[in-house]
Amino acid sequence: MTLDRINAPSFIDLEPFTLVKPDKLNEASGLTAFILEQGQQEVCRLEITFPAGKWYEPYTGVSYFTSKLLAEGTQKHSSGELQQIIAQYGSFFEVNPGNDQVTLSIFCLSRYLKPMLTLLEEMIEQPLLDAEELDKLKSQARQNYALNLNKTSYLAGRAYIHLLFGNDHPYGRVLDDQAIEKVTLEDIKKFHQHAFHWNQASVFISGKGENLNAFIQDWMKSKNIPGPLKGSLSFNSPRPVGQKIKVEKEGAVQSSVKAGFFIPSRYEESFPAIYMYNEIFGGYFGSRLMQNIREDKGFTYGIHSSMVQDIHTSYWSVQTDVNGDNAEATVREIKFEMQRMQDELVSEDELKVVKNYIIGSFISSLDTPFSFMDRFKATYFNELGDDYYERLMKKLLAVTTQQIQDVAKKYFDPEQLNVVVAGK
Amino acid sequence: MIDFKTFELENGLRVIVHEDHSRPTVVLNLIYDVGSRDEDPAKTGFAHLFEHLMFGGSANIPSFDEPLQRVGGENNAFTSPDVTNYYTLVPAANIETAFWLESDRMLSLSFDQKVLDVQKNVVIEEFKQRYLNQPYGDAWLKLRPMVYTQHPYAWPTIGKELSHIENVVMDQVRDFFYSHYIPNNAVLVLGGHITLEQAKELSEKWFGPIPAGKKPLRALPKEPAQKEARRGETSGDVPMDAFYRAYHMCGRWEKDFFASDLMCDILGRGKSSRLYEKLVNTDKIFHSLQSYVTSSFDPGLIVIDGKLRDGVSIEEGEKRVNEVIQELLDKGITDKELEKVKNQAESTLIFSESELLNRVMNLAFAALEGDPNLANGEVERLRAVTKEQVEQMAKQILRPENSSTLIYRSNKK
Repeated sequence: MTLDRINAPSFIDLEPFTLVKPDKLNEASGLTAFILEQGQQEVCRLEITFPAGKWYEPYTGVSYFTSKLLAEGTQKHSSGELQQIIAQYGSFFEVNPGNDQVTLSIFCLSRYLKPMLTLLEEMIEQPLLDAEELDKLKSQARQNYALNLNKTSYLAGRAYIHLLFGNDHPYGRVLDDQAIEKVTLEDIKKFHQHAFHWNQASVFISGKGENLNAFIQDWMKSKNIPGPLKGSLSFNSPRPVGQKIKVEKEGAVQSSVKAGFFIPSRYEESFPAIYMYNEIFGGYFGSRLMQNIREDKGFTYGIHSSMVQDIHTSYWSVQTDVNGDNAEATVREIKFEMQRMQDELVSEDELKVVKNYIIGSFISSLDTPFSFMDRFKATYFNELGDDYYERLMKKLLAVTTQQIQDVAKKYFDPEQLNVVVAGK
Repeated sequence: MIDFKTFELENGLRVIVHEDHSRPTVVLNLIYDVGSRDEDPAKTGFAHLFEHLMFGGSANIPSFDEPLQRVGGENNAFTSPDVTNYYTLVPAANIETAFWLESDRMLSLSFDQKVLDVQKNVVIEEFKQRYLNQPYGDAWLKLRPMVYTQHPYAWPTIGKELSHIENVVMDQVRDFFYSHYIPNNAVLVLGGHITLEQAKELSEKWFGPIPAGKKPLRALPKEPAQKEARRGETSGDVPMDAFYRAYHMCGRWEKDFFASDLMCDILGRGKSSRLYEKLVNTDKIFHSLQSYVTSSFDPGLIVIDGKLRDGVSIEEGEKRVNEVIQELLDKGITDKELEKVKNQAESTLIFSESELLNRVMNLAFAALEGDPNLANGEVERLRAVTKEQVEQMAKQILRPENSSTLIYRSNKK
């Protein structure tokens, strides 16, 4: 029998599946911990988050510098000593000040979890918050900013975010030289006092270890300290449509394009259809944008669309870097593809491919205990419910070509696209 | 410890199977023993451009990606100076699709002129995006030819210059394919939710009928021992002056590799390292500073790079780096320091091995070098390194006459 190389081997359509969930531990004060004991290697990741991101800061930069200063010395150890201790255990530390949460993370061999947790406690409870260390961080931030100003992708991204959110919204503000200058040590100390309370913290531990639950339960009792409740805040942003911005960058070899607008959030009925729209349009390698602008025209190394879906915001963007001469043609093709999504139904076949691709890549992405925990964190911080992904997969598989065209017409109007081009 | 079994097909394709049934995914990884070091110096960047063409249609299948996405799979590839590696992740139930696709493009490509024309443009934009449109992005384009005068590591994988990519013609593509993309010049690694029996049956069925070719002989010029310090200068529209220094060291499979790597870690890995602690944290000379190894198959490099703080001259920065190096040479290292970098290296290895794809790739690299078991026992080998060996490596490597220094000045001053 000769081998049939022309026709694809038979395959099965993929089904929704159940994700592994962490155990939850609660204290009366509000402190919460999640533990996922899984994996074959004796390593774990410890993360502690506080609602202390940009959303909660009094002005730009306070959250950033407060978070970064936690690791730059405590009442007991200098910043250099902290780094030595972390490294001596073969551990890796990072602090990520985000839009909403600030996260302190340690990656370590599981047998060193205890001393690492003690060290994080020390940073959180007794940071030095020292003027000289602040100067060092400010100098690094200024130089990073100067470096970023040389990147067209940064310039386009910054102008785009500023356009969407404006000056009055914490997400729209930029940590530029002026903002860096303005941040004072007094305000950092105040912010640390009111934003880093154990009763508002969430702790996430994932990896392989022994008796993690019992150990963390004990530890939590010592941190069962009442504190202020998180206030509710809200900010307004303009809802720009159809804006065009050009950011000049002399000598740029390529132009960076960033385009998009606000879309309905993941709490809305239409979200599964919007998710499918994005995937088909520019969410994966076989997307319309990649097929047209990379694989047919060769304008770029890559072009993608993506959604930012957070508890406080929800927007959609397209981004790419292209030869400056092709920037205009690229924007034209993006709009052309948006128009096509409105005018023509996506074929059943294309939809089928994307559905299998979404479920398949979701399965493949869940490889380590850390990846399961990351998915769980997204549902937790966005208050989506523990079985969110199981429900979402079912809804995605049920989306019809008509529903995709409906959201295309309702929410993805090419005329409304905001476009930023940074380059020559 | 990565468990594996091996077998070989009649056409010379080596197959390695790493069973792990904890997740419902299979990785199919095919590594070819060809990289940018195998290129003609007048036609660089070709191995990588070729990798792009591997997605543009094969003997019987017009597109690689679409049928794979249809069954829930994803894939990617990369080219390095040493190898070209293709990998596919697919839900176990649909693994046969990956065999069908991957074997068809080993059988033959479609050699479509439009695909070549478009991918030349895509790669040219990739070149710009990664190297030309980034501040300091061209530093390595300048550093490599200073350090390597004979060996093909003198050019980066993306190519020496845009014109080399622009000038590629289809005949070259054909020649390259038929000389390097043959079963006896590749290793297939299967990892995850697949059994040895399945792996044997499917490998035999899809790859077995592909004829062997003549395995290309690799006779690369050896880089002669460097006799005197080299210096170079460049400038660009960058916000601050930057400093690059490269020293020759051994390749990643040689016996001195771990001692050299740990020495480099002591010098400049992370915020607790000597360079960072002294010159960034305490004396505030640099804004960033680090050292790392290139880990190439043929003899590689230890590289130190850093960006200077405003108001500090590049000459001062270099002097201070030299002092830190001199101190290491004069006074040696401490037991505690060595224990620290060993702990860091161990946990990095273990974290990396918690991902199936990394375990599979480690096996693939090691197998290409001749023994998949080289992927195991790394922790033991680095644990065995002594203080004396590290100090010996420092003396052997960190010599001025073994160094190349590139100064990157900011035009803004």
